[in-house]
Amino acid sequence: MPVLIALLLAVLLTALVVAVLAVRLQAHHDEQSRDREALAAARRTVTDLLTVTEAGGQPRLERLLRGATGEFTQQLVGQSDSFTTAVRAAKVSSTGAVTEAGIATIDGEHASVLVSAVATVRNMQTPGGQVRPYRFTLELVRHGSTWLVAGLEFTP
Amino acid sequence: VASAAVPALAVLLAVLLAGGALLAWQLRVASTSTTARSDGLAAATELTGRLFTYDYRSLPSDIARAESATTGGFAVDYRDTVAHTVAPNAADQHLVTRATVRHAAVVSAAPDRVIALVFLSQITTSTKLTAPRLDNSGVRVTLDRVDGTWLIAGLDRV
Repeated sequence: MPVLIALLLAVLLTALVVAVLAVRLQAHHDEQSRDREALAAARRTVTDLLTVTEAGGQPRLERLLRGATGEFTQQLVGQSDSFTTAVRAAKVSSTGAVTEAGIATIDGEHASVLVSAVATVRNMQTPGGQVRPYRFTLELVRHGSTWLVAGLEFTP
Repeated sequence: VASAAVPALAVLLAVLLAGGALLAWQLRVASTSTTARSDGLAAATELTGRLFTYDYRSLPSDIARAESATTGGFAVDYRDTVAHTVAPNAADQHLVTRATVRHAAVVSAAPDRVIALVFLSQITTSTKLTAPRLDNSGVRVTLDRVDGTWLIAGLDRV
């Protein structure tokens, strides 16, 4: 009988320890997926921002707006008309691609993300395309389960 | 009933202990990766500029300082580049160049390896230039933890 009680106690204690470890490991996995989601949101925004085609402009702007909030939304709304007009006039097309992205700081609510990207720009003068490098710092905020871009700056 | 429960409980205990050991090990990897994130990022911020900072008047000590930030195959490559390109040019053109890290971020982190994205500014003066030249660039820096110290194990432009 004492053996049985000792075993029961050992099982209970070990189960408790396992539960605590599992909860802490889950918290780490949640942080990792939070980081991945913030990076994915930043990459998506930069790619869309550097991609310009006459036909795809409107859906792309709508997608950018869905992923934006605050000041960045204002920037997009303020610039979209003049930008679209300029693109049409210059017959420019551009394909954006992110070359690398990393997290500078992150917590549950805010993330600061660096993104380097290239845009392959084609117009009537350069039909073969010209590759231009770009660097950005982005501020993201978490709304529910998604990360939204609240600020975006071109950095030299 | 009691005697039948003993072996069953013993098996359960063994399973729980094995599971606990596995979780504890995974948690340890996770927590060293978290430490690596901040330590690797701090090292990237501190060390990356050194590789592109030298003065033709103090080249040997500047290069020694830069080399002390590198490890592995990259250390060999860096030494070769310095010997064949940097050193001759620096002497000929009176090169003075200083790179500073403006921004740094973590691309990925493992207990002994961190990949960082670093935005650099570099100011160069030389007899070939009429005015100081400012270059901005982005580099992907691989850092390895060697005997407890984070060192640059790779660098490429992005």
